[in-house]
Amino acid sequence: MLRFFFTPIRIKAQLLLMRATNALPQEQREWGRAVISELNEISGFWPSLEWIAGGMMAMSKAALHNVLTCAWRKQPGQEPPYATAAGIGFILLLAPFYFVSASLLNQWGITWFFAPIEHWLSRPRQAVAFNIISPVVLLGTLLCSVLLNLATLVSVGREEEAGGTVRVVKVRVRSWNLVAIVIGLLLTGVLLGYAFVENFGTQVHL
Amino acid sequence: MGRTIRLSSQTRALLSEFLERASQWRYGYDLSRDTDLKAGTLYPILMRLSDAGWLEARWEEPSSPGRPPRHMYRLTQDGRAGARAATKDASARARSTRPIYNEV
Repeated sequence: MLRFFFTPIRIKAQLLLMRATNALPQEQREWGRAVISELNEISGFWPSLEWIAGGMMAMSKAALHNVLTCAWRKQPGQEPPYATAAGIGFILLLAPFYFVSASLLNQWGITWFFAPIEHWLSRPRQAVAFNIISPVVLLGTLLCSVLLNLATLVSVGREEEAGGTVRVVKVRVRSWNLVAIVIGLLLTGVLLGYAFVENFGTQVHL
Repeated sequence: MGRTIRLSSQTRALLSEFLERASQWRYGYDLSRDTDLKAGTLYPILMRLSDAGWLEARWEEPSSPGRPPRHMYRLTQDGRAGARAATKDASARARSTRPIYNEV
């Protein structure tokens, strides 16, 4: 019975590992292939699954390092990791997206999403902590998401042209990265607008 | 040109495993079994050692058709020297911090 489930899981996990490998810079992809090739030597369900999980973790770490440190820029001809940057960008957008949409829905009478935040804010000490930490976390994750995706789409360099060196700005168009940037900027606008109205709104009316 | 590497206890364990059979090419899974390091720990270390120029890697010719080639690793000259120094440092430190009851 276990054997019946084993092969599809193994194949799916192998495919996932191959996808993770594609997020690596060209010269590191052979490490992903190295992890996959060892699978043929491993027998047993759990040892194989453990190996695949470990391999995925190692490849994810390397891919994350590649994106966050912009290591791909140092390799001539290396394509930016668009999909990884967009994926990380969307994950970073989750908390601000939840906060903004829950707050807006709460204003419109749908309180279900905002209830956990309200419950947290009902205790004074937790409310103080929330007011200090939430702007840093929300604006920080938004900024990281926008910058990360901008870094994959925009590059500044120098190129030789007849008569001298010119500064060149290259902008690539990738839909998912652009979507992540636009959502990030929209959420930043909403949050900053809310903060402005909350803090200076009464003074404006005066 | 190699760069400096962080020598964690896992890295030291892997280096001493390599030193035991310094001239031999080793496979990832065998290294994992011999050092008890999981793939998630082993491969980042192998990548770092390779980037630092301590490790050379190559693909083995497939032993039978349809079987994928395996990746093999071996310490370079720099790697052997570095590994010997690292493991020597670790054992010297272990000696200096040995509990007193061992001395009695």
